[in-house]
Amino acid sequence: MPSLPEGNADALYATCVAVVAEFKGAARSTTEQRDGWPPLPVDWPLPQDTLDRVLAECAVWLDLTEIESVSIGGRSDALLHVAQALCTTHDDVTALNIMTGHPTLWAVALDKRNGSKKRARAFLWGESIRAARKKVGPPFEDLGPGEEPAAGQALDLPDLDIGTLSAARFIDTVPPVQIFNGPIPHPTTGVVYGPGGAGKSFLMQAMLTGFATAVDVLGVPEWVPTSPVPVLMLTAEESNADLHRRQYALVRAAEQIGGDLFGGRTEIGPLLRERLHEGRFTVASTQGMRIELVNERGRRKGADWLLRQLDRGHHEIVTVDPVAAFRTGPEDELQPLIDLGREINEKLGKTLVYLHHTNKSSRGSDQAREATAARGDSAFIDGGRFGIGVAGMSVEEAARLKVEDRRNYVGVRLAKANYTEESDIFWFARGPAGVLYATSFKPLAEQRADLRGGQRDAVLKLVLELEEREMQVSKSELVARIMDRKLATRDAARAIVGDLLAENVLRIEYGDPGDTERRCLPYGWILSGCMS
Amino acid sequence: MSSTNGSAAGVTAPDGAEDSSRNQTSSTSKSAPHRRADQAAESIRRHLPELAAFSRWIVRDAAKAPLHPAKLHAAGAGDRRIWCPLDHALTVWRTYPKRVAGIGFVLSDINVEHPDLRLIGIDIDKAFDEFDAIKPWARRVVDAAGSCYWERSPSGIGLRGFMSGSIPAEMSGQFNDPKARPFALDSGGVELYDGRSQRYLTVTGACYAIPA
Repeated sequence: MPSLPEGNADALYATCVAVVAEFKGAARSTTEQRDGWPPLPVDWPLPQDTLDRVLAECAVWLDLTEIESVSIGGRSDALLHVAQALCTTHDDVTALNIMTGHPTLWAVALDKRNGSKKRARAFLWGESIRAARKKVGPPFEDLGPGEEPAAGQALDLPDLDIGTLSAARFIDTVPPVQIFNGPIPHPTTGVVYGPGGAGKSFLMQAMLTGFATAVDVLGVPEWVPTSPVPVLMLTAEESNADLHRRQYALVRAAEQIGGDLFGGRTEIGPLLRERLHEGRFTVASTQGMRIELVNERGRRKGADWLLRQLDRGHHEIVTVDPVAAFRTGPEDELQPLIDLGREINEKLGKTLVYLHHTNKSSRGSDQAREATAARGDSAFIDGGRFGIGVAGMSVEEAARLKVEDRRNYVGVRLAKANYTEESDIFWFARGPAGVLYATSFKPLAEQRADLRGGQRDAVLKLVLELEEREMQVSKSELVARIMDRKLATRDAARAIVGDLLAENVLRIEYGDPGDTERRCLPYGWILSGCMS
Repeated sequence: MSSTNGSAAGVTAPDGAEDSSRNQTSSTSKSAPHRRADQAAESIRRHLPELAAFSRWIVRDAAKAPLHPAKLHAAGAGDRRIWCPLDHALTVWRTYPKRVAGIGFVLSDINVEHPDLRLIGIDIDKAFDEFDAIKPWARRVVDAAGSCYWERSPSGIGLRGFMSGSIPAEMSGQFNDPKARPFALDSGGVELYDGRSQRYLTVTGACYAIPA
């Protein structure tokens, strides 16, 4: 009978140790790099000879010959450069990886923290390093391969030129002209959010078409700029075929049914076609191109690409659809995207609009257009200067507006506006091929009044009929007869009779106390007032 | 104690062992828990007869928490009252398949009670990649172990090994800590246990023959 196999325990143990040692850094990098890129301690307490040895060992260890040629201005700069060089040439290497994996650095950290591994790791990675990060000017990851932080700038922010920044400079010159007074102030960074399938992309394509052509393709005149604005639409969810179909449908709808759709303004179609041919609307599908504006380490590999495209086309507004396709990393760390937007606003004077999805819990509810419904980091919504909520019509809204085909409507609301007022919901109906055009619903009071108008006429006819038959009825009896004829419900009948009495269309006549015939109507009887 | 012959590649599969996680030949008329229990019983008796003879088996739930074999409430693996013979554990597994998800073997102090056994348990987490191929680093560990019984872990992507041998004494301190995980890797982990480890190891009986 076979028994327990006799294995090679020594070899097994040695292999385990070797394998683990090889992967130790990678294990730590996956578990701890979420906090972002760890800057190295500025006041690294390494003696110069130890530092030189570490640099030499690093060079051999990772085949980085250029480390030796770095002119080392100080310990922190040298270590900064070492880590930066290592990490830019090795994607799977992080600074923590380097520090904890390097025997000398690890030994120093252990020695500094009296042999406690936990405290040594905190020393390398923890609060002391994070605190030092604040002293480092440009983000570590913004440095290119071989690029050193400029002397002085790495650690010090430039001073403000106080002498030229007086508020007085704003009062004698005319401020820059706002391009248009629409839902998107310019230049700003904002977010359009809504559940998937609500119509964000199509709405944005129509909106941008309007911006680029100064033609009111959505039926909302206040969203149209005074003159065409170059815009760029980047979408990672729609293919070029999808974009083609949508744009074609948009123009065809304006041309063919423009008369009906746009209030008889048949000039819209030709004007839209002509203005689009002027080439101010750039629409591009980035499907299949993994453009990471910000990745999980906070690096902005795609940001430069975006800036280049913006600069080439002289676009004033760019939309990024959707946020999730243009970034990686935890969803609760979206602040770098807002920072990028502000950089574009400030440096280039252009507007950046992110299209983002709402969280699952708000879908289908009235809250889907609220700013708090956007998914992920609240700093993302708070940081944006405006927020536009897009959502279909909820069941409650359909009941309120007396709409049966609620799926044909899309509601848009300016839910967050730093420079203008929050708006009521703009309703858009889906036309042919999904083309959106503005529509409006009568307020509920008006709808009820319309409904009650027909009922009033029927009630008055009933009163006249009773008068012709010389029948005297009390108020409650009239209500009962209205109900018998199924002209209205009890409450509606009471309300209608009450309204008619208040308006003196009907009146109540009270009999004399001695009138036996009319004594049975102690509360008076109904007579038609004006009608009679 | 006899050793098992190694394969040509120096990697040992127990005699007659097959990758039974893929090649289940049990009757299809039985329920899945019954089939797994039968497979485990057959495999353990065939490849780990020494362990099968011990009354150190426990039943566990899906979260790998040890259960009392009669009352089926959660219990500690160190509690000898829940240890039972292999047959008993298998019977409980077959009887309460919704509560019991498998069985395990308790290592605690087995080296004291049976010093000749020199049992080593090996746990390799996430040893297989998405294509169900053994990862290179896991292969190195498997190769280094030499003659060893390997089976797939309950998750299907890990490996469990049992062999006879001795782990260096300096590691005993870590092994005595039941929560100690001596090694943790980026894409998995490898842990070595012996009788000094106050814990139990799951046993599935799903033999894995190391490919040449």
